[in-house]
Amino acid sequence: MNKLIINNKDNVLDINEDSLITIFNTDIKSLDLNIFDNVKVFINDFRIINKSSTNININIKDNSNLIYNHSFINENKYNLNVNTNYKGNNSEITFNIHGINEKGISNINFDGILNNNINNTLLENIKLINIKEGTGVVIPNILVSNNEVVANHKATIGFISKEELNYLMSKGISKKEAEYLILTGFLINVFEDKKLITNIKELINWRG
Amino acid sequence: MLKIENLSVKINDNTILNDFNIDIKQGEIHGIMGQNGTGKSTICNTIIGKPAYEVVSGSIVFDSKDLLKLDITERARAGIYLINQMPLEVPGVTNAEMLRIAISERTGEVVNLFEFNKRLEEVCDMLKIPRDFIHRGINEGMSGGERKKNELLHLWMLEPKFIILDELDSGLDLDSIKIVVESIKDYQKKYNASVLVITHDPKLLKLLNVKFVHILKQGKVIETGDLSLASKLEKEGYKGYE
Ligand SMILES: Nc1ncnc2c1ncn2[C@@H]1O[C@H](COP(=O)(O)OP(=O)(O)OP(=O)(O)O)[C@@H](O)[C@H]1O
Ligand SMILES: [Mg+2]
Repeated sequence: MNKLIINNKDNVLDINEDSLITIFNTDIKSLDLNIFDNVKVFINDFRIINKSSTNININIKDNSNLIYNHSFINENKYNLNVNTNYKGNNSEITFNIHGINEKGISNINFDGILNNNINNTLLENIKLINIKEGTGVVIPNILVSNNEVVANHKATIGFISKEELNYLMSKGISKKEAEYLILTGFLINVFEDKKLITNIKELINWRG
Repeated sequence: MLKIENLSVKINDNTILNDFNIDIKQGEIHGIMGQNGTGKSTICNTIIGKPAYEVVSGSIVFDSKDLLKLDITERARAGIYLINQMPLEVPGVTNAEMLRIAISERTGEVVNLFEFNKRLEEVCDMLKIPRDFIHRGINEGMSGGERKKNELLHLWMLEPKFIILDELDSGLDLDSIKIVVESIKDYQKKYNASVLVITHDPKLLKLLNVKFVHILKQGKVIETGDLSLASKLEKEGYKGYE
């Protein structure tokens, strides 16, 4: 498996082998992914965002699979635009996004086009938590022009779960620490990579 | 140790508990039985201090502290611990992280990680749960029975003196019930803890050797007895209480 770490603002990647791509707290303006046939691609993307607009363009061909896991804390303004283009058949794109809106606004726009090709899948799971003065907006725009595709869009925008808060407090944890644990858990929970999870925890811990 | 007097509790303006009384001394094991929806879980949640449960009148005194003046965290630190009917998942927060913070906040001291990890492993072995539970998300992806055992892991680490068990037996297979019941009994003896057991199964009350059995109806204790009351219910059900 090919491992890549992205550190640039603008990126164009041609991917023709199985790849794991990591973005760790780098400001990304654009990410163009050209995914060829028969590859599996994992992207882990964690960022603390102050002011940022990110455009992600995905072109995917036949029999390929992309899992894009992304979590973020938005401190000011975040625009995320995602474009998916299926150029072939039998491919699957999954987006798992967990975002915390601390201040300002997050706009998440999805343009998914599933047209004349067959057996393509687009799954989006988006969860946003608003804390302090933050808000979030999610706009899905999925065009489906045939019925041999699957498109599934789930988005929830809410607050810290009272149930989870009560549960942790009932173990003797203060409200402040309980909130901190819940939010950190939420941010890391889209990833499986142990090293990345440790790095995220350190970064958040240091941030306070 | 825990004395509840004339307690009335509302949820969303509906009165659920109505003049509820109970007196549990240190080291005693009490059981509550009652039909679905009579307010058993409401008692549990009110004792631990969940904000949605509005106490309209009455008092709860624990270790000569007025519990109603304390929030959830403070009640837990005072030594009250609930194992819920269906323990909640907290995604991404591991057992170890949660327990370490709970202990260090309560004691005001940094936790000795070597001792802490050793203890966690001992408790896992004792409960016959895999040691990798330690670093798993709290109840995350766990079956009903595993969750109950996971809550027992918390119990042994947090060492409360008053335990509330809301349908401990639900979701447990026969072998697991044995392990869990033995573990509760060991704990109770070791710490001389008080236990309040809520169940639909009189057998559990027998297994735990409960001293007092209370029958709850419409938010009120309508009869108190010993284990023979549980046996009577086992035979006759709630017919006599219609
Ligand atoms: N959050 C809530 N909002 C509204 N009503 C509630 C809430 N929680 C409980 N109730 C109501 O209070 C009553 C008592 O509920 P409770 O959960 O205490 O019953 P229970 O005796 O534990 O029942 P079971 O044996 O089914 O567990 C029920 O009628 C229930 O619908
Ligand atoms: Mg109940």
